[in-house]
Amino acid sequence: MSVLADAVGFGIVSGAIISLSTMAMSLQHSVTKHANFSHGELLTVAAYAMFAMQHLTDNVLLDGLVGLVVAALLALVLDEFVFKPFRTRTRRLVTLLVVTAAASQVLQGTFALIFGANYVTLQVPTTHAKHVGPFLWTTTDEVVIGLAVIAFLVTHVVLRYTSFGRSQRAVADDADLARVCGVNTSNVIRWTWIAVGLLAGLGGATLAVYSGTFDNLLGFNFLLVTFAAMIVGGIGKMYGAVIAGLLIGIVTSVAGAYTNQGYNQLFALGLLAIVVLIRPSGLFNTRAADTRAFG
Amino acid sequence: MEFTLVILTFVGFQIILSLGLNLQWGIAGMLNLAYIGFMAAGAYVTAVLVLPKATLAGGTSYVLGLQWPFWAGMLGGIAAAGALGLVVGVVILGRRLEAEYFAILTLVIVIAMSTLLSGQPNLFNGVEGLINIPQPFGASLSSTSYGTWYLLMVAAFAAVVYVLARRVQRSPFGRLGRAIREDETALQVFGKDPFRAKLKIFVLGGMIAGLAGSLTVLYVGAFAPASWAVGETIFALSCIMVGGSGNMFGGALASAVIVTLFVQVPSLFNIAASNPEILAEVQVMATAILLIVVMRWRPDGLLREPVGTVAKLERRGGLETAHRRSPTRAAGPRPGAGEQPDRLRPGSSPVPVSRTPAKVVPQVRPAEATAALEVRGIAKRFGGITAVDDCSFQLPLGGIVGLVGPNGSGKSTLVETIAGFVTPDSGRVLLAGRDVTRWTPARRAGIGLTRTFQSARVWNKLTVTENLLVAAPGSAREALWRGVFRPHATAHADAVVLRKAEETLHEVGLWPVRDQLAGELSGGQRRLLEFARIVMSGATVALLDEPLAGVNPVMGDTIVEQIRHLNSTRGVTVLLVEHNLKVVSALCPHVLAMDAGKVVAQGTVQSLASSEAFAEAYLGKRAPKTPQE
Repeated sequence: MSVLADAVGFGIVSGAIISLSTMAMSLQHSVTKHANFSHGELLTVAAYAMFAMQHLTDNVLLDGLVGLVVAALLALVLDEFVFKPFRTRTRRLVTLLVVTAAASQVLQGTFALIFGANYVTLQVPTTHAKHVGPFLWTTTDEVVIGLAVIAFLVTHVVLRYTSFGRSQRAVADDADLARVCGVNTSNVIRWTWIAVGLLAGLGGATLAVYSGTFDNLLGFNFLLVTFAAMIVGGIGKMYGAVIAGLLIGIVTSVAGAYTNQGYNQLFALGLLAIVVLIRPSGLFNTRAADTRAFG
Repeated sequence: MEFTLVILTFVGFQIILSLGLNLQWGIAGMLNLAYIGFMAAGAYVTAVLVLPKATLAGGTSYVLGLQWPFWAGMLGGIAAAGALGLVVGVVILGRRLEAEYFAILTLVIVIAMSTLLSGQPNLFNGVEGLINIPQPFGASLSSTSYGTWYLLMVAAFAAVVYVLARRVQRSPFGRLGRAIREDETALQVFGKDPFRAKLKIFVLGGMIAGLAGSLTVLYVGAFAPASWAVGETIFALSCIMVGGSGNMFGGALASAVIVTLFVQVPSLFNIAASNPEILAEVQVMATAILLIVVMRWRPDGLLREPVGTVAKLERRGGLETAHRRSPTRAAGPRPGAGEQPDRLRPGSSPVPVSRTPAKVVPQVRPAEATAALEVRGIAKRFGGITAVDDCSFQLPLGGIVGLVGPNGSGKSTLVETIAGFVTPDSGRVLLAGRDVTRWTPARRAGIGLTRTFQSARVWNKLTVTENLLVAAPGSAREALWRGVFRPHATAHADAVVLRKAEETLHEVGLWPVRDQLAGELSGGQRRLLEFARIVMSGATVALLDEPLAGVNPVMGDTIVEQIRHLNSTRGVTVLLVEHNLKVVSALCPHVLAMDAGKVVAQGTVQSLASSEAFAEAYLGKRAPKTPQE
């Protein structure tokens, strides 16, 4: 019983981090309509920014905040100078996919050049695990969960109740239609990337704090889990992202607890493969796959 | 000297690797991020087959200890990579995934392989990997002459793979692959199954990667998960895309140059000595930057993909004189080796395409003289919307029937259903008396049904002539093995089809633009190209979905003329979906009028104009009751 409870508690924490990364990716994909294979590096850059900031201040929250800002800046720069020219000029989606994959390699290489190819250790205040209900959580765990909840609520409120949110949803639904209706689509895309960077940065910062040590593959190793959660949850759906993130976090953690711990990522990959092969529109997508096939 | 040998050997590995990937990516447009996994499969299996029984670093005893000779190990490695390609290909290519999902799934595969093998200490020794893999030719050679011999062997393999890849690319099979890359859906309406061709390229590319892995592991003597990170695929892909996607020479050359540069440059700056593990990262990184920069200016890479190769070959002589001298032998050197008829005309004995005269007059067997196409009670609902509601009609053999109706009346859905792109909820589609309701579009096309699309779908990066050659039936001509092992016979068979294509180009009026890429044509010219493809395909029934949409009035007349030609001279039964009543009345003696998913009236346009149902629906005496509203 306690093995299961511990695994579920552990899964909720990693699920919260997956949810953050997934909300970011889902938001980006809904607007730009392409997968970003360098998504993981937005997480990694926040982690390294935190690591670098530790030379200046011990305040973990402040370090994390800098991490978020750096990730948002990177997201903005990547899109403006690397992805956007290809998005507007090539008609072939695959070229853009290769470019995002190449950008991922460039960033990984850059991290290795600056911080070395070995693991670095983040100094975080040690906290002790205590029982919260059936779960065994440390204060760090609680902060991670709390941050994910806050991020979800803020994203939800912004998308649902602000004018930016309205424009953002309009662009996600039909960019051309939004443009002729007077929505400044390039601005919306720019702000979306900033939001993506902030969410992914929060994901990376919490992941780094949670893991303690990491290397330049921190975010890349998280990429497929994020893809899995996005596809399971349905592209562009924030609820879907959170539910799928938690689901994948808990499933991998529980499955890992009862089998080989080293293989727990495989369960997420298996889930991803099954969903892509059987229901690529996502488990939580209510729209019938048929209707979008032919106009 | 010895260092140069080593570099050249590694260049050879990378060239082989690049050729396999260029087949998959450059020709068929498959973004296979798991490519390096196939190289790993070849490497591991070769190593396992040749290793003696030994105690590994972890203290575990090595299990198999087969000690096969190196060539058997290589064959095993290639076969294993091919088998992996077959399994993966059948599972993921069979699902017709979008490019993005395909890329993500291949990434899943390579990461899963890596995770599984890293945690598997028994067979492949986990993260540590395999070491002490015996070298071919054993101790019988000194180290220098061994290096030379091995380089020669690698060079020979690279040359063989290069010739193979080029032959694939220049063969009708390669052209089919490029058409798949450009537009798979358009291929289905000519009766060709993209799945099988893609699977063949996927397996072939995988085997070439397996060969590269096999050669690498025998040379290096060790192999571990660190040797096949995802970055290696991106590196190989970057080299190809810089050199030229689909250009075998360009891809191989860029790979060679980039690998050589990277071995040379760091040694100049002494980076390698201080930080060997970062060197690999820097290589991949710098190449990725190069890729992004080159893609900005030349999206297809520095060297262009060769197009219209067979046609050029033809014009260069040789072949032309050969088939002029003996037209009956031109289909192939042996009887039966040429074009196989794979298309049945209703009621006629199959006519080999190579002999098809310009005029096709369908011979009608009296028993089947009823209808070329019959639709019985078709209904299709999307969610709560009923797009087509109990629709029935017949197309007489050799006839031309118009289908009119306001937007949203269900015309397009009906066409999709007849062509096989949408499965009806109820009702049946009969083609020359055969029930084809559950058939795929490709299978329907196989017995003579084809269609055009509302916005013309041509294969953009194929020339106009190549578009025609792809549309022609050619299961024998387009066989992979034939293109590779019998290039001349294949070129002969292709030359026969080319002659028909040239006739058709003259007829349709596309002769002046025959060598242009189809993507460069105007909207009207694309329409003409679609008609020319229908002629080439030998289809007997054509569904033309708004062929005048987006075409200027002058070109409109030409298109009307071509539709008439298609029907009266070529004998193709036509269902013409069109808004322009003038055009419909000029072409079609019989017209069906649809409204709210039903055929509400039929007859001549003149008789329809006086029909109340038609007038209500089309001319708006009341608001049209379209399903969307």
